Amino acid sequence: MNSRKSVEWRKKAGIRAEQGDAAKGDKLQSLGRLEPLEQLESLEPREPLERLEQLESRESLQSVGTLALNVNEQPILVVDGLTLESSSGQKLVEGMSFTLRRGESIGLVGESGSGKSLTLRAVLGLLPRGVQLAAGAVQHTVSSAMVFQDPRGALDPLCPVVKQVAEVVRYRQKKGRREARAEALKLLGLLGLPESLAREDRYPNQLSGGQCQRIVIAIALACRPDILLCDEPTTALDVTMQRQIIDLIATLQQELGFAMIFVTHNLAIAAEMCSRLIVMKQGRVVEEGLALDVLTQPNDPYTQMLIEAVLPLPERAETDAGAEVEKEANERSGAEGQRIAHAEESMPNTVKKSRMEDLKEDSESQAEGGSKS
Amino acid sequence: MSAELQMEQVKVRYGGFTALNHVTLHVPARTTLGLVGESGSGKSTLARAVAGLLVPDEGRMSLGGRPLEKRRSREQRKQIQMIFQNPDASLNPRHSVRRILSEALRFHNMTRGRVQTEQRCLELLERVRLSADSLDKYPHEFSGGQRQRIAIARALSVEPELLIADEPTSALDVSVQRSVLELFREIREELNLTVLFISHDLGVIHAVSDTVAVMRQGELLELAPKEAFFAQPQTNYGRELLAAVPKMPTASGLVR
Amino acid sequence: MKMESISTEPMGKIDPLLPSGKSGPRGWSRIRRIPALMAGSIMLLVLVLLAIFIPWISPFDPTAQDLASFLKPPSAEHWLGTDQLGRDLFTRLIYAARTDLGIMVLAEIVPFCLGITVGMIAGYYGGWVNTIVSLVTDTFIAFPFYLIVIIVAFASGAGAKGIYITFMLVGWIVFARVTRGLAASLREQEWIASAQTLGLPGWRILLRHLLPNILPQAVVVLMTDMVGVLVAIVTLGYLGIGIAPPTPDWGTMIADGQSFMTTAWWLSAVPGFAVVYTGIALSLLGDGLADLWRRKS
Repeated sequence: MNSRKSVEWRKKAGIRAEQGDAAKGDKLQSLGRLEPLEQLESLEPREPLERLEQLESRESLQSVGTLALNVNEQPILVVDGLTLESSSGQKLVEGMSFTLRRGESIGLVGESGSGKSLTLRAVLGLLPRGVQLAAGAVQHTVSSAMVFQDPRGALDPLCPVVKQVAEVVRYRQKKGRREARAEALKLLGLLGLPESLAREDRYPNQLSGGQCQRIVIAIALACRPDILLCDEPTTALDVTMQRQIIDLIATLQQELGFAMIFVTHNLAIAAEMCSRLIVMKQGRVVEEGLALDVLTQPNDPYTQMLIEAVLPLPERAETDAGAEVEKEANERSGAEGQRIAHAEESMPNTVKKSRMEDLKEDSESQAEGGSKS
Repeated sequence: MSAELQMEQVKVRYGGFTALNHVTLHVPARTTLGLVGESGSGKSTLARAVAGLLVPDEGRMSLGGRPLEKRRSREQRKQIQMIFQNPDASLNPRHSVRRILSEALRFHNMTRGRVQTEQRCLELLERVRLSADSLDKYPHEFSGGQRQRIAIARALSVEPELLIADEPTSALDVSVQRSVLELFREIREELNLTVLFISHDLGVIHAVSDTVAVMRQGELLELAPKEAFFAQPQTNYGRELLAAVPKMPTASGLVR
Repeated sequence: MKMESISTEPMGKIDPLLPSGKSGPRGWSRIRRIPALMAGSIMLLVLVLLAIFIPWISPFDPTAQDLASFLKPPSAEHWLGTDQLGRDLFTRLIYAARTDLGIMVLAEIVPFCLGITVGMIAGYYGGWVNTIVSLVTDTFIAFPFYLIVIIVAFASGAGAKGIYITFMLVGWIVFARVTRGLAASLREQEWIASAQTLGLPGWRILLRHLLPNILPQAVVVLMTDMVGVLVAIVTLGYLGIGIAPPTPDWGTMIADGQSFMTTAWWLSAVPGFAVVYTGIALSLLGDGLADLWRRKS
């Protein structure tokens, strides 16, 4: 029933987006580009990727980070007074409350033991053994999917990756075997995975950590989630890979319009990904607010400490150097294109190409939305 | 008492895969070399080769002018100590802190008698800012950061000259990371250590290093003083690495 | 009799393969939470205590014949009745436990130590030692175990000797295999690497670092393996090439009782039940120890 509801909603949103109806000038537009997932299917496999390419990632990230909130719209997720405890009665999460609206991204920030991952699992409805709901409730009317910290652990090592994605497509979208595979390949193309996957069976251990994470994201997206739950999706990855995955998630969110809960211990990443932040410490919320406010004017000493813990890098003149990097990286990936590992290095750069008009529009509408709310 | 590390054309192969390809590196005495690179770039292999945990197929290494051979004397082993990424895995879970710290001391006859050993263990604990009552506890009774401190204390127990730290803070919470890095800086200065510090986190590298080395696919791409590297990396890969670091919004309210 | 001391050995220690948080319940309270471990220990303890104190519990001599009262059903005097030679069945049963459990433990001690040593060295050092060990273990595994036991038993004559020799020959293999795998994986652990960088010699790392971490698993294997040994002892006794009469032994007791199945079925059933009882006790203990070892957290 839920899924039907969300499909209906998507249709509505799709119509609005196509018509560009200004009269609906409610904040839907300011939520970024809400495109119905159905539209994905109708696109040629490479097309979405091109669209991704056209987005200049930096700016698009920024826009995600400052998405305006639609105060009038019904939240799709309400977490109310969530309290989790271990079987021995120890409180692991206490009195956690927040709401999530369509297209919004919330960052749960904190160190290990802060309860951020448990909160995420409670939202997903999969509490680990020995943890129980003591009080409060999680209400949501839509579907969600999770991206895990350890991509290799989240994949079946003995099953080819394309098959793993196709299986989810098949059961979640009720499709035939062949159709599901085509859909899976389309998704993988969208995520910048090499096309060679279609020809040869690849197993998780033949792919790099970053590629595995893309597969995991593909599986999550195959569930057509309205909420994407990310549990430290980049912690196990290298900086360059981390950058790619962050950019990818941000761009996908722009394209597909899902809401997101992003769990991380890295405030800098949270700042890039999320419009709102919730800082947690030992199962309690210590601070909550718009990302920029929290980060620039922290009230709680713990938040302050987390901010200081992000080790600074010296400012550096970012002039032609950046352009050169791109150029060179493209050349290099062209030369070494055969090796799978390299296919993904070209990824961030393909994503980085700009589509300036769209961006301007986006940022303008956000500026408006922001000032309104 | 500190010594410089010299590596010349060192090559390590695992089967058909070249993990370290003719790396030539010089770490002057009493400096910290920050080694950056993604996983699989060969940085851990380099560390293990220097620590004597694996034998290079080609090339020469020397510490303080004396060559590091395949078979190392006890003295040479003591000179080079290593700290690992995961303090859970680098401490024997069945041994008490006392035993962990005193094992090498007693074996190498660095202390005489129970009293002196105990004295030395307490000194080591104090150096890494752990209380004296930690001696009779077991590793699992400590937090990750404390365990890493124990690992550091153990490495210091044999009075090394070269300390290799392989991602020592990446398994730790951010708040703990800072204090452990602080500790590193302190012991390096007080004990005149030469340090080989491996990390994939450029923020960490910036905080601890004098010199930065960038590795990729088993090769050393770039070697530059810290300031120079962070101001203007010489290779594209170096620039790419720097560009990939997520940055905090500045006070002016602008992201990036 | 050694059993209890062996089974308590790995308790209260920390396992390296598990994330260790705050120290959980230790010792006794932790054992109590594992029903299999509790049941196994109690079952075995009862048997061992009976075997130790049987001279004081029972007024009968296990070998003294009393032809006046043969094949008596269970009564207040003879708890489980008497056999065809008028010997008290209960007394014989427990004395047989002494014999069989004693041989079982003795037959396992040498293979256990040998297997662990060989496996540890092979796993830790690798190289040619490892190659030879895996070659030998694979070869031996291909042989049917009972064939070897029977051949050796015939060659060495009846009695416990054949069992000791057989297990000396083949018993270590299972331990060597398990230990080799464990040692090879532990070798990659960083605390072994740091012991190496501290300049400690190999023998010291093997004894002080590897062994304590390998022992718990090896003990679990020992428990399961002992069941096999017990069954082998009983089988040989049953076939008449094991323990020689009149020494009480479950195998010969089962065989002797067979002729009286229709009139005194308990003569065979009771020692048979004793074998099953011990087997279950050992298996439960092994399972329980494995469980204890797995869920330390």
